[in-house]
Amino acid sequence: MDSYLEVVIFVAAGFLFVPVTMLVGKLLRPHRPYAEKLVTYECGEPSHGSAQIRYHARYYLFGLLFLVFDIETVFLYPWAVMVRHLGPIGLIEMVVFIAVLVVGLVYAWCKGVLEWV
Amino acid sequence: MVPLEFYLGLGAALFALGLFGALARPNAVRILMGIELMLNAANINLLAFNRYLHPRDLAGQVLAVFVITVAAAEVAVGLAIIFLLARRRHGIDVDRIRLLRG
Amino acid sequence: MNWEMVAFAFLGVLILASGFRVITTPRIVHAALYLALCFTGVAGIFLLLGADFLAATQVLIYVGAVTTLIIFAIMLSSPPEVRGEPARGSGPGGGEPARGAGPARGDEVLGGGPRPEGVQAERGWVGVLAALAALGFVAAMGVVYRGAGLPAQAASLGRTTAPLGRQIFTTYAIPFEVASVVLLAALVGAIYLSVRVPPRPSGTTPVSGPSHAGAGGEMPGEREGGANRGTP
Repeated sequence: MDSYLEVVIFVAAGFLFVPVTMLVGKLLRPHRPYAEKLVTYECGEPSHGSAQIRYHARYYLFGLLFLVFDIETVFLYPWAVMVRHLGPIGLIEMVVFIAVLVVGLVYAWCKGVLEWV
Repeated sequence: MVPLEFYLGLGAALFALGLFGALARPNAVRILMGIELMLNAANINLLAFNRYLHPRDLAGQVLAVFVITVAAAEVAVGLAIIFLLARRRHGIDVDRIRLLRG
Repeated sequence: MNWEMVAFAFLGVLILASGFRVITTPRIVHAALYLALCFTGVAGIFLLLGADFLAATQVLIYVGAVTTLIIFAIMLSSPPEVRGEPARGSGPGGGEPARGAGPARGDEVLGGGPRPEGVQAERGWVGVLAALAALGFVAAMGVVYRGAGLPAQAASLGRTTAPLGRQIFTTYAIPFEVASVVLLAALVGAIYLSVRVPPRPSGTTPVSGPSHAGAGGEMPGEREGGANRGTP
């Protein structure tokens, strides 16, 4: 269990990095605000409209595909670790699994989900 | 070493939180969040029992993998339904949705 | 007080506090973010339980994908519907300003108008009953766990990925294949519910308003019409 000490240090450093950086920046930078400087930074473009608009449904479908194939990855990883010990049966199992999911991908393709307009 | 009761207590408390959220809130998205909390509590219990009672086989962990899979599928379909309700019925307040009430 | 106990206490407080905020925070976007924090804490608990692969799965699927999907679904709906916030009125995608106007607080305003009185009263009782159910659940679990003889010692699990793979692909091969069918059904169902039947190019602009109201007639299942719309 001691091998997680590095993980704990990593996570703690990650959480500490942001406040420490912002604190150092606050101590070092000069403070001379004016109206344009206080505008929300949006890639250098002048921002317009509210941030709380309704986004398009297309994003949800991409998220959906990501979710499904994320789960496929979760099953693929232990399979890849064990594939030498499983023999041909393991290969057939995974081929069937992927084939079923590919049916879903083909359905999404036919519905035009994958096309970005 | 943390005793098993502590994990079980944490699981029960998280499940109770999720149960309260799923029952008491009229917002359909928040009901879904409550269900997710309950599933996570169940996973904590599965892994704790796996570790303390049957460390030889990993049946609890396998079950937890399938729970996560089914939970993800449930979220995908549930959010699609909520999304459709929000567009068609103009609201996802479950008290106002009575399409299936007869 | 060893370091494992300290980590458990920290993670337990993190999980329960963020889970509590998931339920109580008035803004639903904040609830989704607290949900991600709660999932991360549960992943830490998984690590404490020696389930390293499950912890990675938890982060990958719950924190990475499920929370993202929930936040997408919140952003995909116009503000007063899902988010429980007052519409901002101005702006290109402000939704229906008249509907969300008024003292919107928390989950109270969701898709228009005050709730009818009966529903309000009913909702109050539902809260009490839900609290009773939750407390009753904890009490019942306490009784059950007290009666059961629980072992005090945990065995070390070691690395779990390889034995987990062996289990999934030998003993649990059938559930594994069924899981693929479940995922296929979820994928097809969610796509069917989300995609409008005739995909027309003009309905793809990412703004709400009249275009969406007009597009509502093209969704599956619209045949029974909007008879239920707005009637409490």
